[in-house]
Amino acid sequence: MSAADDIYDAAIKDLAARARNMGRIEDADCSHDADNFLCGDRVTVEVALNGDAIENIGGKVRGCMLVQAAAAVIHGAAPGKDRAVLAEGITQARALLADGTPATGDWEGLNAFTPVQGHKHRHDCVLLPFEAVEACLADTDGTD
Amino acid sequence: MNSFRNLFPAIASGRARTYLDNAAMTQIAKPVTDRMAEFEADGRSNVKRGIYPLATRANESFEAARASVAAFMGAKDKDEVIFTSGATAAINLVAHAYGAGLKSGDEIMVGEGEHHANIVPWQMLCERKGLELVVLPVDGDGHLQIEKMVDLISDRTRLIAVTHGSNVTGAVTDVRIISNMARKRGIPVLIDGAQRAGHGPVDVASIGCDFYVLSGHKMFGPTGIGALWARPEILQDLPPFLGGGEMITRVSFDGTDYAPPPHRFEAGTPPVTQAIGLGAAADWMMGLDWAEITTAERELTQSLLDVLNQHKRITVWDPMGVAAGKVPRLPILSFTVEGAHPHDICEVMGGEGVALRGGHHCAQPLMSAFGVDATTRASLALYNDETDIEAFDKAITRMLKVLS
Repeated sequence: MSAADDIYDAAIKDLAARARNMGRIEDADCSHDADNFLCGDRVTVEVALNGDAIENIGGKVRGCMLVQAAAAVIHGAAPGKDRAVLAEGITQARALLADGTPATGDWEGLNAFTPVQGHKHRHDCVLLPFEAVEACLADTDGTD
Repeated sequence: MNSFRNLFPAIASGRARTYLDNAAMTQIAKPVTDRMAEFEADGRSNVKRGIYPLATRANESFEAARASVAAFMGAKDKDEVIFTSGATAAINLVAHAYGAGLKSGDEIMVGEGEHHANIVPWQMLCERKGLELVVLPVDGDGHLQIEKMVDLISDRTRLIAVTHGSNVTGAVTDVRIISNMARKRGIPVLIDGAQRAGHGPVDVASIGCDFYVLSGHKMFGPTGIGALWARPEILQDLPPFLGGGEMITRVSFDGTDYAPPPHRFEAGTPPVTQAIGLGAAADWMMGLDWAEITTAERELTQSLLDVLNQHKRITVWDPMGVAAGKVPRLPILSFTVEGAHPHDICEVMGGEGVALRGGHHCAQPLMSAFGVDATTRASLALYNDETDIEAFDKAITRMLKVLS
């Protein structure tokens, strides 16, 4: 096994495959395109809200396996939860990538990305869908 | 073993492993680093002003480098060459200096397959001056559809800017035909030679263009240096782009008189060492047998294609099918793999020691024309040989297994 192969284990592949099931949301309360300007990957996120609760998350992922897998984690964890849970998600994702802090609670699925911690050049791939959702929700409450 | 490998320390030592990212940056040749080190150690001084012996020698070295680059480009006179920080800066220089004379409603034509460096400066010029950007489309294999140029040219067309060779597909543009067609209509042509320059000297006279740009880091030279060649009768009348020292004849608060070309376009202290390095790269390249090298590069390109065409999941975005040796092309090719993203491909291939590039290659309009988001690119240089193809073959097989 080469140094790169640890990223592409069964858990990541399984998550990435699930991203294909996200689907689009026609009546979303917000949508946002997030681009990785270095590589051109793009995540389009659509969020339907019910008050402060996330009713559904959809969109389109044009990116690598890590981008797809991260989008799938969000799609699996956030619907039905308060929007604040997404802020917790990105905090846990950053901590996991920075120093290996295990993700907990709603975001345990992030632990699939533990092998990515040693591949700093790929951290942005994991964070791109989170930043897309963060920017999308910011559009709904007037914050930047 | 390829005899050039010993002239490239990172290749000879194996540190660069299987380096197939030459379209992004070639390795630097030892004759280049030797001359740069010699200047830094024994000849370092600023240029253009000092009259003490060290400064005089530095200026002579700097101007000798200009002459070498001019010879590499086929220029008649060294003063037709302007040192820039690279091809991108050279195109921006033209966009500002030549663009200064354009008016609202004028048109700039660019190729659909251009690198962003030959699109965005023109878009910015269009925004500044109210110009129109006209796009010359590519066909399904990435070649410019030159036959459509006549219909797209209008009496407002003021410049045509196209690449000499695609950084994505390796497709070579017939720049002579384009220049000839444009010249008959009095339209200047800019050729982006960034990719072409790493594969031998060029001849701006026989091409018949008006501007030609290149970058040192893609032709075995240092980073941070490039060159613009411009037809002298055009250059003579262009206003400066950047202002500062070294580009004037006299400055007062009543006004400034500008120096003649090339100094008018080289404000401030130039990257002297890098320019000397670019000159060394040009000298070294001009001493090589490019007919032999081109044949070797084409054979290796065919070998790369043979490897890729073994696998049903792989599509090569190839400008001429597998006929690599029959049509002019650069040793650059892009491919996609069903079910695998280029970044994942590059990650696995990189882990196997094979350096490739994945992404849009700063050519997003071309990606759109192909209907893909990104490709994986392999690009060769004169130091690559069959050992690289063997490593590529093994890594491709492994990548397909890992990303299944």
